[in-house]
Amino acid sequence: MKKIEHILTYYWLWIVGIGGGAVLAVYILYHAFFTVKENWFYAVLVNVMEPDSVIAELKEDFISHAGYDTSVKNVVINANSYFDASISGGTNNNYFQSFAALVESGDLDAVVTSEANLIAVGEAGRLLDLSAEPYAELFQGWENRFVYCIPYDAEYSTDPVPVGIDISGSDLTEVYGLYPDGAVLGVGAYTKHPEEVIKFLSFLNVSPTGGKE
Amino acid sequence: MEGYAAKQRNIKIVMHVVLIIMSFIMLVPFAWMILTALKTNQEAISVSPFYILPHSGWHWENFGKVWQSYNFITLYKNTLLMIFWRVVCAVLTATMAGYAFGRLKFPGRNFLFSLILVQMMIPAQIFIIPQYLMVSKLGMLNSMFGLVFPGLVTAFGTYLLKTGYEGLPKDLEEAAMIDGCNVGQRFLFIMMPLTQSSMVSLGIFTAVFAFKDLMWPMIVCTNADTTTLSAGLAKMQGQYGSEYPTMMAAATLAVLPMIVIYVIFQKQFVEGIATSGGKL
Repeated sequence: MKKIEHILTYYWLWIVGIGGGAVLAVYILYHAFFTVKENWFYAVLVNVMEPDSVIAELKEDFISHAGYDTSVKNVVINANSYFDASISGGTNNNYFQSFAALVESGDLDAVVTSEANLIAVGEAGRLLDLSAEPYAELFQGWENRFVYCIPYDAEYSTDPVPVGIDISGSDLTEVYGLYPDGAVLGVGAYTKHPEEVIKFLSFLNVSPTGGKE
Repeated sequence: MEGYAAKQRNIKIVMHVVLIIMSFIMLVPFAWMILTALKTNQEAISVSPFYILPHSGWHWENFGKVWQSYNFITLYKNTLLMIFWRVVCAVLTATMAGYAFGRLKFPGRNFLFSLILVQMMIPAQIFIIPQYLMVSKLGMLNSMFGLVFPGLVTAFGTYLLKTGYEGLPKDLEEAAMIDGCNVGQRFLFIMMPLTQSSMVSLGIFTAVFAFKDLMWPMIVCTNADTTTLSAGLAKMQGQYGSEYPTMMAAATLAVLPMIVIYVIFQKQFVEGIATSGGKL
């Protein structure tokens, strides 16, 4: 008993330090190995004012439609983003910076916003060129709905490149009441799941040739 | 003599008038926020000076509406926990690193410290993507660790504490050494308690910056259950952008924890600013 008292008196800091470090290490290792990290699909809906409940319903319906197992990977529909890249100073906010971080990290699969906003984002090179290999085949047939922009990077192209798909009149508006003035869907420049974007388009009832499916 | 006293009194009166006016100017935005929170939307968007006070009664229901729409208890809990862990981590790591750089001699000390200084010179936004990738790969998105992660270590804190340790007399440490203290004991029992004011300053700065941090919680927390007050408020701004009373009610509720913290630690806040020469 005296020995334990002696150890606690002289080594209490070491015990607390090593104990705390061990708990932290176990916590990090547990999350690193057992937490769901990957996404099935990550979409950002820009400038949406509707309540969370609408977005939650949209997400649940999409999960059911695509048949995703969310215990394996996540589905994120992030409607907490407000910026307008088409106007001067419209990106000087934290929302745009976090959007840019999502694009650069490759987590962002799709972004939905107004045409002018999407074109401005596309011009800066943050959206996938839908006609570029190896994605051209995937988006083949959607040409009627393509939205084009001329990138700032003249070395990449001086001609208009398709960076978005017009989804005006889709279920996003008809069923969920989002974007009544029309919307365009763009694909993140470094997306890892372009095929899931097609599933999302199918869920929104958008046909490649124009009009609803 | 009487003339001198009268002059001093007049100077005092002028100074008080100036200070009262300045205090009033400082309080106007805060009062405006609370008064707007108690108005109707029509009154809030009216520019008429007659609408400074609510005309149709005090609309306390705006607070109820916001409270019911968002889980403020969760937002408070997440914010306070994030502040707590960031302060603990920042003070703990900066104290040890500051002591090492300030008092110990080891090869590469200056080079390593210059690396820390470089970190202070680079805009924080540069680190966002690598930090996000690290947290994402660890599976820590939407978790408390994810929120605390950028605050685990602090370059500013290390610099502040290093300066604090350098200002202490060498004799104290040498006396402890003669008494048989090893490095750990000298740090823990002799030097660290003497840098208490720097540690409190760092704690206050860390707490205020953590409370104000908006971008990081917005990136790592997409769930309403894991987000903080600042990110929650930003979300409300999107949803209630045109409903100013609701927004202001939410803002009033959001600043409450910081006001409570300030009232409790008022003396330390003032001392902290004086010690570090910084501003909040």
